[in-house]
Amino acid sequence: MTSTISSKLKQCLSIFLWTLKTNRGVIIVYLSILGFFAVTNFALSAASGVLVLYGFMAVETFLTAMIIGLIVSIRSFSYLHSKRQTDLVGSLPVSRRTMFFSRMISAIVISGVPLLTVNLILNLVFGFNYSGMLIDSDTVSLGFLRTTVILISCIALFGLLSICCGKTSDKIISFAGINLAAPFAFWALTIIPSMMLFGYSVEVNPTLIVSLSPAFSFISFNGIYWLIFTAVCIILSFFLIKNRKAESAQSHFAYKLPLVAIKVLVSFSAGIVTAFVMLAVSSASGGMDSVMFWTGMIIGSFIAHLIVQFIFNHGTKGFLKGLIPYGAMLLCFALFFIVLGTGFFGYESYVPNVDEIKSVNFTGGAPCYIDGVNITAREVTDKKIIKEAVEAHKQALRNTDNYKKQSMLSRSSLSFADEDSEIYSYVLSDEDTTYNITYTLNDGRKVTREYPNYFDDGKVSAATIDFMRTKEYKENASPAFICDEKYLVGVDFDDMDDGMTSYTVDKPGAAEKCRKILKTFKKEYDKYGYRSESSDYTLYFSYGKMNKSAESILDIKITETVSVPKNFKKTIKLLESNQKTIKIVEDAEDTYPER
Amino acid sequence: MIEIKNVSKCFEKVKALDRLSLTVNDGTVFGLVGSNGAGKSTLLRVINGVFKSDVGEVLIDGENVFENISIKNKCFFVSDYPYFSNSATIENTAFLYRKIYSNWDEEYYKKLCSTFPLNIKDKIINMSKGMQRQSALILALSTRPKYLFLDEIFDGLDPVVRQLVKKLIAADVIDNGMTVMIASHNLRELEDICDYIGLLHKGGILLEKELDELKLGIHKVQIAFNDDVDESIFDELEIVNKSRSGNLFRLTIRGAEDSFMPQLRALNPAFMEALPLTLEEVFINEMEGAGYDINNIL
Repeated sequence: MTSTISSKLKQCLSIFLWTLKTNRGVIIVYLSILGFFAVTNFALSAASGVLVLYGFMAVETFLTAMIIGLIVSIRSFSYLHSKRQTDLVGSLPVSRRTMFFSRMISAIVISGVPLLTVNLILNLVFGFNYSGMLIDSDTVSLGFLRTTVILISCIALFGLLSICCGKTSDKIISFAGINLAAPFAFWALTIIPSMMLFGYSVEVNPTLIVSLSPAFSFISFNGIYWLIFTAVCIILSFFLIKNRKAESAQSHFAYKLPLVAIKVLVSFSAGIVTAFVMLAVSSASGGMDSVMFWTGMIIGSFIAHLIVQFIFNHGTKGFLKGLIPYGAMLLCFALFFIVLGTGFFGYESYVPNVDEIKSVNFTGGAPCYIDGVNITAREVTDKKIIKEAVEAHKQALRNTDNYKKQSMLSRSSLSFADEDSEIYSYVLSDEDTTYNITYTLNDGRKVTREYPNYFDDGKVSAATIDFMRTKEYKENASPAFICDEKYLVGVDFDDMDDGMTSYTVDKPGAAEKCRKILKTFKKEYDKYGYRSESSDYTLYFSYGKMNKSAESILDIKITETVSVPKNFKKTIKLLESNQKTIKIVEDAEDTYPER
Repeated sequence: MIEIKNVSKCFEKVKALDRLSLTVNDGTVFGLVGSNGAGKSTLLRVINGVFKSDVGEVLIDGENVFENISIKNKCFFVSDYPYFSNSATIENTAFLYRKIYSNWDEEYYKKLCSTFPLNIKDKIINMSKGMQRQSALILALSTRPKYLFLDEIFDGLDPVVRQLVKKLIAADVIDNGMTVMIASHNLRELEDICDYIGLLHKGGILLEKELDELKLGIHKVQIAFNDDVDESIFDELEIVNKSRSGNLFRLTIRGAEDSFMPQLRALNPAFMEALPLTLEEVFINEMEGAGYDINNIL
């Protein structure tokens, strides 16, 4: 057993070294490009101290790494797609698994190690200190590490597709197809329920959207997920490579399931894109949205299916057979559509009884967390408020009856924010856009609904708007009331005449000023309420905290915007005095570092 | 010993090998002949574990060859179009083989490199077709295989190198007991080197015989009569092919010369001559017998 393992390792090392040897040219070119980018960008950054140059380098490095990774992967796994290479490699005294994984390791090392090498050299040159460029060495190293992980995920997926495909062109098309089509498919499947189910609350999770697209994983990078993804690809490769039919080289797919999956994915995504285009046209012209949506879906998906079928099957061969999964896809989507359109088994009309509810919370948008605490919603256990919330909720549902009949695909709102992104909350002002309510039931279950108030000129959600205007709602859904003062990191105020004045707590003495403004505003809010005429001032309260790794950088999580009413005289006076005494009139873009 | 037991291999709807069984003894040179698409290359690929048979099994030294590293270590397969990467030289390919073939013979490698008129540092891909095959052979023989499989190895080789190759193979067979399977359409070359011949047709083995037995088991006879005779006089003989030009008959007769000559003599011919067939003639006759209509093809 031990000797078998050692012999396999020896073989693996031999193939690895041989592959390195045959890729010497690529490695030299790759290192030269990376080195050139690093030296030029950091030299310019050091000279100018401009932070953004690192961003350029990150993009250049990422694109170079991806291109080289793709080239090396194509070369490494090409033996599976060439009859002549198959004859040679298949007859060597090396197991299929050893051969495949040696090649995969080579591809990873060839495209990944130069990245880490350049990073190490940069760290050594700069002595692990990039402070002159307003960036820390951890950020640079993490950037390189992230690119390396993305690269490994791409190579693992590429390897798996190499096993399944018979030809290099099929492999490249499949890789591109999955990376491009999967995000559209997942996005559509996430978004469509929120368009059809009144009250459905959705936060598009970017990690989920790119979960099958490692090439786009930088959009929302989750290192652990991509390592698991890589492991899954490797495990599947381990099982599939052994019994792969070598005769599929330069011919058909070795395994049919991925072929079917890619065809379905691509035709579904193309259908969805066309459907949304048709829907947009329909909305603009006031046409029948569902009919237009389905017309787009069928036309787009069928054309895409034809193209993919033609590419993979080299003509119309197997066309009729290929229609089965295509038809099944359309059927499944139609069922999904019907189920949503009919209220998803009572989802739309469900409101829990007051007795069942333990607590309730409200937010004016997507939740925002600082140190694990949701600063946009507070758990309310007061039965009186719970009862009012339930009544407002029921009234909103009654108001939707007519609206539902008019439009099937635009009943609800879309929310693209994720937990960490900066969002604008209008809870304190009258410009609320969304009423978001979450009931926590006695048995621990949570029921969340979201109602936008802008449909049908606000008539649909009139009840919720009224509720949103109550003091109870505002005080339980506004960071100004919920959030601890220590997280107030900045106050900006906008005077129509004099422009923007900004304080951020990293400036000397600004922290106290920020708190004073907030306190004064809240005091007057308690005294006068909020439904008075607005003055020329708009206030922006920013919440977040100082970035630990760089003392001068603020990590702003959320900014709450409020117009200051004219009767808030003390607040206005305070703002005016600040404007006169301290002339810190800056552009907000300059004040806020990259978030 | 190579044992091929009831092996079938299909490519979608095409049956490349159809329940083929064959045994090749150690220390012999086995020639695989057959029409285009008969399954020769597929058989070699199955034997070498490149393809997995759909049905049946291939045993080498009693072990199944598919994914069997220890058995593959004893084998070397030179395909009809040997593959070399763009940057491959004999030298850097030897770098890999040296590590993965446990029987690699460095001295023999050096000897072969000096025997063949090749530069080991030249890129193989830039070499001529014949030189590429020579490169493949140098590497193949250097691994000291117990079983050597060659597909159309003589294709592109000049006559001098062909002789050299045959000499080297024969030497390895005699000195080291190497077993060789050669698939080729060049029957003239096979005739020189093979001990056994297997004729493949439509994925099955049509005949498998020792070369001498094959050649001595079929003869072409020219026989002439003074008078007009009826063709039925040959009915008692196992005639494979027959043509007539006046009173001159050209016959291809299966069987030993001793068995049919007395019968022919008894017919009182004016002239009679029996000659053994070349392998090519045997091949054509057998293929005709199997329904391969050469006249119509030509």
